[in-house]
Amino acid sequence: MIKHAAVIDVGEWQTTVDLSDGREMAAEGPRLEVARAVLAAHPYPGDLTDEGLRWVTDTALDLHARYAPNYMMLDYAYAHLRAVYGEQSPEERAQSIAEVFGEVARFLEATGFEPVVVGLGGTMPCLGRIETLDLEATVAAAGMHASFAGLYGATERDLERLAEREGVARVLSREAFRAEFGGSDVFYSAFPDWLAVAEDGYLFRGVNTGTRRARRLPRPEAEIPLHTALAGPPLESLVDVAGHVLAGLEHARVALILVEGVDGETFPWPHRMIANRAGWYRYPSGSHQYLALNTGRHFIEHPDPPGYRFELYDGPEARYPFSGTFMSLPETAIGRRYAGRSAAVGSRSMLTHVCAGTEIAVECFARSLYNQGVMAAVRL
Amino acid sequence: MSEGTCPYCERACRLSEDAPGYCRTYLWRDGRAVERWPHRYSSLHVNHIENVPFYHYRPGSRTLVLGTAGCNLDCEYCSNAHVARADPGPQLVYHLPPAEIIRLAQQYGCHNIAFAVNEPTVALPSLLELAALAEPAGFPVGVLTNGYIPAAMAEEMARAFRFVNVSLKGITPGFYREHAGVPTPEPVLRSIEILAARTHLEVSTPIIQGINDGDIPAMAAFLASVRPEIAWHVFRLLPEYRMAERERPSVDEVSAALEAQRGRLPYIYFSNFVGSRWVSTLCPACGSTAIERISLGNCGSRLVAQQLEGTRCAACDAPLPITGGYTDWHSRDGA
Repeated sequence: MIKHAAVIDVGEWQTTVDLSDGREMAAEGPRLEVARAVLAAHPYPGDLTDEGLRWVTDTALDLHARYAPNYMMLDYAYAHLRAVYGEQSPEERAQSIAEVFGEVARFLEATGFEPVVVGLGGTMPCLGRIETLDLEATVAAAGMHASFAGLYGATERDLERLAEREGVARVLSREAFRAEFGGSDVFYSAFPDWLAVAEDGYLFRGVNTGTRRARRLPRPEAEIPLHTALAGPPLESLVDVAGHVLAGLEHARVALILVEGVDGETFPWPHRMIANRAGWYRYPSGSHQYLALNTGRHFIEHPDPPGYRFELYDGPEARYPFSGTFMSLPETAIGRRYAGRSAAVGSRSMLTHVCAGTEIAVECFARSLYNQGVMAAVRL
Repeated sequence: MSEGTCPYCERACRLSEDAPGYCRTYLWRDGRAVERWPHRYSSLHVNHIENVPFYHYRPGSRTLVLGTAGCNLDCEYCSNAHVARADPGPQLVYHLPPAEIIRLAQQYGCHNIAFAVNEPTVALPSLLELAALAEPAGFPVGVLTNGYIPAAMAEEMARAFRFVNVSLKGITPGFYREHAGVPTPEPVLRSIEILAARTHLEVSTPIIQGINDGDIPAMAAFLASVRPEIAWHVFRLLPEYRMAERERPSVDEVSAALEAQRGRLPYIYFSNFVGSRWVSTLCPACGSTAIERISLGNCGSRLVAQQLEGTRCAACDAPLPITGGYTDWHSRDGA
């Protein structure tokens, strides 16, 4: 079984822990040396700062210089976070996107990677919030953007009330969902009894909903833009990207670059649109989309379904405590399947190390915009 | 127009029917201070009690954490300014009478209820009402407070709340005047003395290097004089709000300063940064790890293992100042 260490740097102080249980560990090795040096040289300036944007590129260039990977995954959350939590005019949002692509170009010019760049979707105004606390069911609508709500022990009256509520697109049972989507047993083992889905622009609110007020929301897109320098048949879906990258790695050095807050209209480079959905399920910006892009498998093949009750799995026995709500690391990630040197850098915190699966993954350790430092997940 | 003095906080603001005080959450009506938004909350989260943080009260337990909006202090480094310093009204989106909160605590398998996001003084009547109903229903209620309250309110808190964490932000008038917006720490020190004598008390202190790190010995001496077994959570400042540009304190230097105090305060914890190795409870008698925790950042941590026999060290049987003993996170999953 592959083991990972996590090097944590909180500014002038580092420690190394076992990524699987969070306990401090003694470990040495060339990759750890690289990670420690990169982290010490690149403290994270914060999610909403211009320096936070440049941090991704600067850190990636340093990691590239020290480790010389053949595959890199980068994720830039800047345009998304500025749009959602900043106070931006449309012109300022366009400027943010231009700045991100300026950084992407800087990275590519300096490293010579063959790029595969994906825009993960735009943002839209928040139209409303859907109340859940008045339901008799136990509701799981956690996080910063709860566009899904899991219902446990829902009554007939709950289902009727929710279906009538403004902003609710649909409510369906676990059985109905499985009949429509199929998928793995592990996905359904934590699936709620009922799943409520919000219309675009709406969020559920209730227990465990984030307290930061979002000014805009991620817009779940039917299609997202893809720019690729690699040859091959045209891609149709986000789950085609991983195979495309792996095929490219057979003869080239490839960088998969994920840019949040960008849709087909605002993506500034030549591109084609690819499906960002499975059936009616359109991937919102976040963990399911990252997993689908990096593993080539739709969300129903992974163990963390929408609307699951995280607290039922969060006791002392919980594994991967630095990996958010993930209970395992996907073995099908590009970085795990590619045998050559691989590395990742990203400003979407734990999504970087979980989804990239690379030998070294450097990410900001920011939670709800609180900047706590940087972390590198390192394969031992 | 009737007017009166707010009894809930040491500021003792003058209130009238249409003029709230400093915290903006009380008016004067019918001869008394009344909440403007009773039983209204800004957030509810299910969390580990170690994340609130309480390390010595029912370790391992699951807590329903509540927050409202507003505060009676003006700390320059406030980490929750988006709710504590904002206009309270628009933040308070949930109307939850006590029975509703108790229902939610039951549904989510919680063992306790804690008020922790902002200052409980700004919603004290609602919280006292909640505590009176929740405890008989099996949910002890606790709070995090800055302690800037009159003695009568500290006594009221001690009577109603089973666990309290007071933020001792400094120990000099200069610190409180310049960085918290009030003239003196005296009410806070008095609250600590009252609460320590009457309920389960832990204390938290954010350290701002160059400003209050020099006061660590004085704060430790004060706490030791109150009760040496007190759990003292020392936080490395996470620069926010008006101190957002400030450098973070040196982990090694603050740790060294705390190490020098362990002789008189055996339960000093140092956290608010990811990966801290100073969050576990060591038995002072035998040195074994009685409660092992990991730090995931922010103020608290996660219990990962424990060696307790009730409230005693399982290795040497020495008594530990743990209220309630270990509580299995999952024990109410099926509730």
